[in-house]
This record gives sequence, structure tokens and C-alpha cells, in this order.
Amino acid sequence: MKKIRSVLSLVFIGIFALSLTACGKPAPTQEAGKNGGTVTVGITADIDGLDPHKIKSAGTREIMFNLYEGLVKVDAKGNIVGAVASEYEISADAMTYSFKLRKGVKFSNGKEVTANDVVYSLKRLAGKLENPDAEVAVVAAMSIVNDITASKNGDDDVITLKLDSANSELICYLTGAIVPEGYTTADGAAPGVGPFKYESYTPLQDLTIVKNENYYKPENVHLDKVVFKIMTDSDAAFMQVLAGAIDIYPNLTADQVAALPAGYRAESGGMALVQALFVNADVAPFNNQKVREALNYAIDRDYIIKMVGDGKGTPVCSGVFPGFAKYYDASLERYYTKDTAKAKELLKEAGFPDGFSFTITVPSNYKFHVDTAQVIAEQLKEVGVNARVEQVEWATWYSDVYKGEKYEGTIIGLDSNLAPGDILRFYPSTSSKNFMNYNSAEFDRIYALAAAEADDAKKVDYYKQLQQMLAKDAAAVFIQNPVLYVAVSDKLDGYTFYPLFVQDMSSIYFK
Amino acid sequence: MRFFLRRFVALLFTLLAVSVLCFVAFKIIPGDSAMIKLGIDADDEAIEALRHALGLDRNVFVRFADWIRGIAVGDFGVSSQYSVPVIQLLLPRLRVTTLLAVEAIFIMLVIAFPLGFLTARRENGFFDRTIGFLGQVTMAIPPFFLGIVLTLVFGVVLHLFVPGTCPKWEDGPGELLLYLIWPALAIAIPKISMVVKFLRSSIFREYRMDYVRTARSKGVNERKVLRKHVLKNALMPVITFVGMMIADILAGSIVVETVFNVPGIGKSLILSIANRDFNVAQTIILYISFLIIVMNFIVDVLYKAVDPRV
Repeated sequence: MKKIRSVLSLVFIGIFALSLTACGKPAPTQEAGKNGGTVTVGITADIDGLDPHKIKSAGTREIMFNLYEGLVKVDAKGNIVGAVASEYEISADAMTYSFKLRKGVKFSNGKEVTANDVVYSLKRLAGKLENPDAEVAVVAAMSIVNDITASKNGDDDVITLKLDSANSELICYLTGAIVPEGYTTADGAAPGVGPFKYESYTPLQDLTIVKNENYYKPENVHLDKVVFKIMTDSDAAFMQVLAGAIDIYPNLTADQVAALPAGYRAESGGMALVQALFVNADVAPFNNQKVREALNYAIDRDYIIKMVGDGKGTPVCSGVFPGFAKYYDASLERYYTKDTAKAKELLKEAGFPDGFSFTITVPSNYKFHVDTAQVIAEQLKEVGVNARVEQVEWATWYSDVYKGEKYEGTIIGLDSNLAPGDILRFYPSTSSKNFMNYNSAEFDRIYALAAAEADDAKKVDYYKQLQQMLAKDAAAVFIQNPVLYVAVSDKLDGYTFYPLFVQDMSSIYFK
Repeated sequence: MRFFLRRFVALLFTLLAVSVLCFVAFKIIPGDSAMIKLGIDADDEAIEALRHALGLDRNVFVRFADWIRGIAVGDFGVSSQYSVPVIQLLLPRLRVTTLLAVEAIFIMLVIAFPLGFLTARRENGFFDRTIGFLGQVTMAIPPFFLGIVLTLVFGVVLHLFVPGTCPKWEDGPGELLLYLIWPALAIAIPKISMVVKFLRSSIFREYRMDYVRTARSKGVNERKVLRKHVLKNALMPVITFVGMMIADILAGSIVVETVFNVPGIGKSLILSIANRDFNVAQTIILYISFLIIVMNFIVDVLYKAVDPRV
């Protein structure tokens, strides 16, 4: 039914997109110069809530980027730069982090940010307050932080973090929002230090943010107001693009890109995730490495990318995506290429000359993964493997597949922050997130070394080794680093892609 | 009086049965609100802690008893997703959904009955055939698709409204009423076709009855035959049918709400189930069951009024 629905609606969208071009452009929603103006952004999932420390979905995090900043933040190139802290230093043994607070930084309510605010925020994020709120999404990586203290160095406020064990990547996890001391969820939206500030939120309808007049870099913000309209249906959202009712829509499907009306352009950039077909190495036949290798040879990654991503997207054969720049091992992109004969040979060696059958369980809310599963099921038929695609809703996937490990195969995208250890957090055998049951003592050993290593060249080398292991052991059938298509109104400029899930509204301005 | 009392007790039992079913269903489906709230990066201890804080780790019977006790005093609990009382979350949405339903029912009634009488004037006449044909077509279209077509034609091409920009209640109900015409049409049109078809066949069936022949042979004119004799009898089954349609509209604008981005309870219901927001889902389901039961009751009362035999 859903399928028919989307096909039919696409046909109509196509027809009417054509007639729309004939009718001319719809009336513009806003007029403004380089500064000022209101932009409407369409989003397809409701936000998690207004407490910045309780956010767990990528969809909310990418919006809250505009409201909140941490000690440090990420720039568009993927560098960690100072935010509330103007400078930071990691000791040579990677056991102590110290931050010099930027002078005169104010919350959106006009109050100056103090060292106490910072300590409180960090403790709340680390789950180290005396009466922790169970709903706070505790940053697991901060569990090694032993002590958070504030001190004075002359005129400067300094925040010091002492760690239990060496870790040179913790800095990537310190982007969490700085909020006023004593803030709790009951206070509503927290004042933040970001370029915008909260104005209003109606569940399932919209979130409105306005320019933060107290931002420490006012020249970096152009728009007066951004309205995030919440739409729970991708077809309904695209309809509004067709009607000119939204200016930016960051979730275009490949089909919608083709049907984009005049007055909009599609911009694209790599997503911060790796899409893969994960198979459960604890169940037969996937406990046999040869079977996993065979699957890797049986699929045609370029064809998948053509079918589900409109031809854009980077094929990957390991667990890291190109956004990681120096840590990314590009030589592994073609580690496995389609080779039906080899796949059959491997299956024969593994004792499955006639193939086998298994089920790929996919969360139905991710149409992208569902489509991918269908393409892969077709491709696997060529080597005699019969894959049945089963769609389940998200909560069921989380409970049965991810936590319960009651599955054979699944397709999902794994996301990450900028720490290379973060994107690989799923693979150590001790990790509770290791739902594919990959088990390699060597991987575990190097993974621990890599995070602690302070020397960058050595660190890069470790991470490349880890990626090679994942590819060689066929830990999963890694597919691609997908591309995100964003519809941007031609009235706007400055849309910026980050190597993370971020919708940066401060860079956007009216032409 | 006994009739009402009996009905009221039946109502309570039905609602209780519905909530037990709902409770069991939530118990069976995988995942709970603690997991959904914390996301896939949370470790097991954090999820356990939140489960405890939300009271999800208590005995099932205790939880159910607690919930029923709350309902009895009008406390529907707190939404686990939004951390606000369910009533506070749902009342504004209920307002919008009710407005939409009333508008759709109004459109349905105002169009369906005149059309039905028009078609019934002459079997296989011009109106009968044209409307019959249109009815067949519109009946076959599911409301969400009709919604998409309406949006494209009247919103995207003709610019009569801006798709998806449902005005807020606070900005004045006038604007909202105007916008809701389109989703109301999407809901009403297939229902209109059904009511017309039903009314038509009901009237024709009565026309063939002996008493109509008797009336005609007595020399009663056609108008009077229709009004005094045929309609009274023909309307009986129609009332049941319209009652069902109204209950259907009140309860089921769910899909159309999504297409038109109307912030009603339909969207909330879908999301609350996906988010395992038990209190919200349970309240909406109870509300819908309540409506359907009450509609049936009203139909029964109307029956009594129209037909003294009942």
C-alpha cells in the first residue's frame, strides 16, 4: 500500500512539477537583503525535547547546533575549534585537558557565562551530578573523566579535566551544550550561547528560533528568524517544496531531486554515516567468515548507489567514512568488488554450494535502507542466496535487532561524532553496541591503543589498521557513505555541509 | 431510564475491555519508552535507571491498576515523550481534530442528502447515471490520495491555499476553518458517494413496496408519496449508515491529517505508538472507542424516535 502510495504520488508530483514550471514561480515568502529575513526549514521528525542534554536523535542534534555551543565546537571542515573556551590544551600524556574560557561570552538571556556554569554543564553531561536526571543522554565517553575543576590563571578562568585513563579523542565529545548552573528540564528551553536563541515550540508543529543578539560573534549570523516546520511525512513535505512554502528541505530522496521545481536547487554532501548490511556472526551461516566474504563479493555497490542514491555516494568496504579525512583509508573503497564466481566459490568452500536463505530486518521508517535491502536481495539471488526483506518499526528494531540481537541480517547506517574512535565504537568485542558480534582480539587491542595515543601519526596508523581488519575479516557487508540531498531555495545562499549531522543556519543569508 | 442505565454500564465495560487490550498490546510489542527516549547510544544501566524512574519496571497489574485509578479521577498521566500531562498535550489537538471532523460531517450531510434525493428522482435518469458514475470513481479513491490530488490541484497549481501551513487555533479559528476545508473535503467526498448510493438504493427499494402502490392508487401525489411514505421508511437504514460514517470521520481523520499537516490527534496517535508513549496512545484509543460507542447509542435513540416499533 505504502509503495503504491509513493509511486502514485511521485507520478503526480512529476506531472504537476511540469505544470508548475509552466505556471511560473509561486509568490516568494520573504524579501530581505544580506542580513535579516525569515527562513522556513522542513524537517521530518519531531524534536526530542528542549533540554539540550537530553537530545539523542541526529535530527534534533543538527538543529540544536544553532542554539547551543560547548567548550568547543565543530567547524564545516571538521576541525574542533574553540567556542565557550577560546583555547584548549591536551597534556602530552593525554590525561589532562585544560580550557581557557572566552571572555565576555553571554547566554542568550544576557547573563555572562561563568566557570560554575561550565562545570555544572559538564557534570550534568557526564552524569556526575549528585542527583542525576535519568533522562539525560549521558556522554558515555566522559565516564573516564575523574575530576572537573575551575580555577583562575591571573584574569582568566580555566577549566581542568583530569582523566582516569589516557584519551586524546575526548575533545570531540566536549561539544555538549553549556547551560546555566542549576538548569533542569522543568525550566523549559535552556538559554544557550549559540548564534540563535529559542523562541517557541509546538510539539509536532514547529520550532522557532531567532537571532541571538548576545552571540559572541554577531557578525557570523545573518538571518533574523528560522522556523523549523515539523512534517512527519516525506510526501507531504515535498508538496510544500512544490508550493514554495518551505525554503530548505534537507531530506530529499533521489526521486524528489529529479522532480524539484524551478526556484530550488539540490545541494548534496556526504552524510556522517556508514551504511552496511550487518549480519549476526553468532548465528549460522554468518559465523563462517567465508560466507561473509561471499556476500561482500556478491553485491555491486556502484549499482546500489545508482539505484538508491541517484549515483552519488562513496562505496566503502570498511567502517569509516571519507569525512574522517586523514583517518580514512581510501584504499579500502574497492577492497571488495562484484565477483559472482568468487562469491560462489567461497560459498562452496563454506559448505553452501546451493546457497541459503536468510532474513534482512530493516526499520521501516528508513525508506533509504528499505530500498537498499530490496536491491541487495535481488543481487544476492545471483549467487543463490535468498534474502527475505522484513520491515519492522523503529522501536522493534531497536529492541529485537540492536539490543536483543535476534536477527540474521539488517541494514542500517551507523553515525558518529568527529572522534575516529566513535565511528568504530560498535566493533570492540566488549562493546554493548556490538550487535553484529564481531569478535577480534587484535581489533580490541589496537582500538584501545588508538584512543589513548597522543601522537597523531601513530594514531592515524592505528585507525588505518583497524579499518583494514574490518574489511579483511568481513565484519559486515559495508555498502556506502550516502549523500544527503538538500533542497535550497534560489533566494538563499550559504548552505554549508558539515562532516557531521548539522544544519547550520548562521551561514545562510538572502542573496 | 433503564435503557440508559444499561447502555451506560455496557459503555464502561467496553471501555475497560478496550484498555485491557491496549495494555496487553503494549506489553507484547517490543521496545519501551525508556529505550526510545535514550536512543541507541545509551548503555544498559542508563536505560534501566530511566525505566525505574518512569515506573516501567513495576508489576504489570500494579501499573494497570494505577492507570485505571488515575482515569477514574480524570488523570490521564504524563506523556513519556514530551514530559507534559497527556491532557495538556492532547486538548489543543483534539480541538483541531474535532473542528476538522465537524467540518467534514457538515460537508457530507449538506451535499449527500440533496444529491441522494436528486438521483432518486428517476431511476437510471440523467442525474442518477452521472452521479452514480462520479460516486463510483470517488468511492474508490482512498482519502490520503484524494488529499494529495486536492493539494496539488488547489494548493500547488491554483494557489487557493498553501499546502502544509495549517494556521494555529490561537491566530483565530476563521483562518483555521478555511484551511480545514481541504482536508475536510478529502474526508467527506468518498463518504458522500457512499451515503448517496445508500440513500438512493434505500429509496428505490421502498418505491417498490406495496404500500407505495397503495398510496399512489389512492391518488396521493408523487411529492407526498416521497415525503410522507417513502422517505420515512427509507431513512431508517440511512441513519445507521450515516451514524457509522460520522463515527468513522470523528475517529479516523488520521491519514488525512498527515497529508495536510494538520496538528490533530491522528498524527499524535501514530507517533505515540511509534514512541511507545503509552499514556498518550491509550488515551486517544479510549477517546475513539468512546466516540464510536456514543455514536451507536445516539443512532439507537434516533431509531426509537423515527420508528415507534423499536
